[in-house]
Amino acid sequence: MERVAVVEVCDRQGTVIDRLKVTSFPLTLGRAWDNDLIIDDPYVCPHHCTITRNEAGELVAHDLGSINGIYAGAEPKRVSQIKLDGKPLRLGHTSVRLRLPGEPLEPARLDAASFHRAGEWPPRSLPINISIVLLAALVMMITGYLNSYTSFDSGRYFFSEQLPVVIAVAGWAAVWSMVSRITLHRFAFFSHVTILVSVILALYLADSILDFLKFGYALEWPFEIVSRLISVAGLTLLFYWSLRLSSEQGRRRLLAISVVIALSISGLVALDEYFDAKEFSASPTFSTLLKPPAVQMVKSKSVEGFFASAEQLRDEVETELGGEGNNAPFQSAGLPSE
Amino acid sequence: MKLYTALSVLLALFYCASSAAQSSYSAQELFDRYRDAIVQVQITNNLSGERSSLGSGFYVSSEGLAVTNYHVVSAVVQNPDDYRVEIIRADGGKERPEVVGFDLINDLALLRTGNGPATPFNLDMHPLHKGARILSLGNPNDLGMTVVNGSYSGNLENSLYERIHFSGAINQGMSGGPALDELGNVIGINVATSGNGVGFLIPAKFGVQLVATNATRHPMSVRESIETQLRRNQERFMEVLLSEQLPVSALGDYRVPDKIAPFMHCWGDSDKEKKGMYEIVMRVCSSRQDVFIDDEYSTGKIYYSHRYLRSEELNALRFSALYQNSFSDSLPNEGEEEYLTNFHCSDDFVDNGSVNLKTSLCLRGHKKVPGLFDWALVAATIEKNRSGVQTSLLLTGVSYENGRKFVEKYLKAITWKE
Repeated sequence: MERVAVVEVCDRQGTVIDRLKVTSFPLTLGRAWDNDLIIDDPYVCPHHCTITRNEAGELVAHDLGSINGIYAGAEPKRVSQIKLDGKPLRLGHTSVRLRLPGEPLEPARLDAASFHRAGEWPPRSLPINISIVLLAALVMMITGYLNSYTSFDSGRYFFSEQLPVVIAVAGWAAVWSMVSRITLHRFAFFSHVTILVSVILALYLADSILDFLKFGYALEWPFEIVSRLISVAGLTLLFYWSLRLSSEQGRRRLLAISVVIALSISGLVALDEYFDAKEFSASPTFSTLLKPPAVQMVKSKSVEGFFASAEQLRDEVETELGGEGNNAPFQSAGLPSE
Repeated sequence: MKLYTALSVLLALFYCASSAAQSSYSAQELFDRYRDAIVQVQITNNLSGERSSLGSGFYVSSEGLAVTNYHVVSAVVQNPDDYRVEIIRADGGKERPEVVGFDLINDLALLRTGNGPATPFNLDMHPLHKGARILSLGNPNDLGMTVVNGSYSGNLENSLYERIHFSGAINQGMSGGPALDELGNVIGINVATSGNGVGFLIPAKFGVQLVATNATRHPMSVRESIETQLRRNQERFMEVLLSEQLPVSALGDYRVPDKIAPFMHCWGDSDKEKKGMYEIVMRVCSSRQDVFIDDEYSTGKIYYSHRYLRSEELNALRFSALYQNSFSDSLPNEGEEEYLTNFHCSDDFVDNGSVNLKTSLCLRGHKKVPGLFDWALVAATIEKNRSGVQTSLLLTGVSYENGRKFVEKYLKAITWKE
């Protein structure tokens, strides 16, 4: 008895539509019922071709004078016989692949949807998810209170400030849940809510802390850079965790996709800000942050020391004046003299 | 005795009547006498072929020199290719004058046509008494030449730029027209109104100066002229500001610059939150006037404001939220990209010897007048948890050195009340 081989019949999309275990050759292929392998394709002849084993033990396909012929893989040229050394055989709108028993296979994939990944965010526990959402709501309420300076009404605050956020978060989570439902057959609504809420909370806390530092050190740019990096990280995690719940792709790949999305969004925002900053503004853009006196971290300068920076400002103004070449004089040849 | 008295009264009456008849003219007489010397000044846009603005003007010499407001002809001075100026006489005759000189600071321009009228106006600098009758001539709203009766209400005291206060209705289109005393001398030039019979005139002496400098000076380009005038002007008012110590007055627990020069005008107000969470006391001072150069470009102005904020109800963090919110919108927003650079700012904590302030200093340059800068300073005291004073200053069209000296002085003037 010959070694067992499997012949796979694939449609135009490459999907296997039929499989046949084969123990002996020659093998006849065609649309007629007397073939070894019956191919249900209107572009295939009743007796289209045969596959035989030659003296060297190789498998070769022979055209039996068919109308549409046989082809090797994606080759465009019609041939009368093809050596089947791994390439699929094309006939009509069908391709036929020979699988030998020793062929190496991919290892089985991890089932991302049903396998619990210990330590990964968000935790698969409804009480924990709800606690995180409540914590975020509490933090928002407290900062809302601290940022208000008229009498604070928490009920009113909830309806005017928090409810719109709740609706937006629910909308976001619902969209992702649909995606997860379609791809991995799991709704995972609360997981998506937890992902978004935890990222927003982290970014919000980070920005609030950075505001204190910016004021405390009377210095914007280093903290602004940190703030940008944190928001890129936050966005990356947001998309990574969301994609993990919606795709079977590997972690590295998902992380790479998330980094690209996060960088693109941050890049576009930065570009927009760059063009905004270049635009003329009739009022000065200065640091408006003010915090309680205890937050000041650096020693105050003397008036003279501070005014030394005026020279620097003058240089910047001169650069802008010189650089743009726009200090064209008033348009006029001159006044006639008496 | 009775007869003598009656005779002397009669004589006195006769004398008065005759002297009046000799030197004082009625409006009609003046109007008739100077009919040919008063003109309408029309600015026409060359591209559309339509007039773009109207004003009045008057001849001051029979050789064809005429005076009007600079702001009437500014479009021609700035854009001689796009606009032209025309003079329209009372008889309907048109002439194309040249702009031969201008005084930005006093808003005057000197025009010259080929020939002038037989009786031109006479610019006269003699002092008037308050209440003296003044006749203002011009063409309001293109309705034809009219005479407006009014009176002299003195020179504007406390004004950055010298003006006569005229109690009478000056309307649009009358700009540049002459204002006459009863003898027919030009004592001022119509320039502006603040409505309801409050008008402003440029004292005639500036017209005399403009005619005189024009006769003697060497040629200067428009640019040089503008630069020189703006520089000289800022030197003049900055000298006043820099010469003495800044007067201060109490605001809350602090002392802050008050009315720092006679030409500054200050207002105050206060605001208590309806539930008494905090209160704000404000003071705003402004020089009100500036120098007009173009429709989108005026400069030479000082503005500053202070806010004292205090709360007994709010904690330190909530107060800082209020304090920050008030800080962010403290400066007026003016200027056009064509004429000014962006502001460049530097922020830091500054201890001025008395109080500790979070301070931002900003500077921008004038694109068309090298050497002129606008300075902005915003500062908030960082001393107490639940009160503080914030100040903002805008000083436009000054030299770097003058501006720096003044802003430094201003910052040092904010102190504790004790």
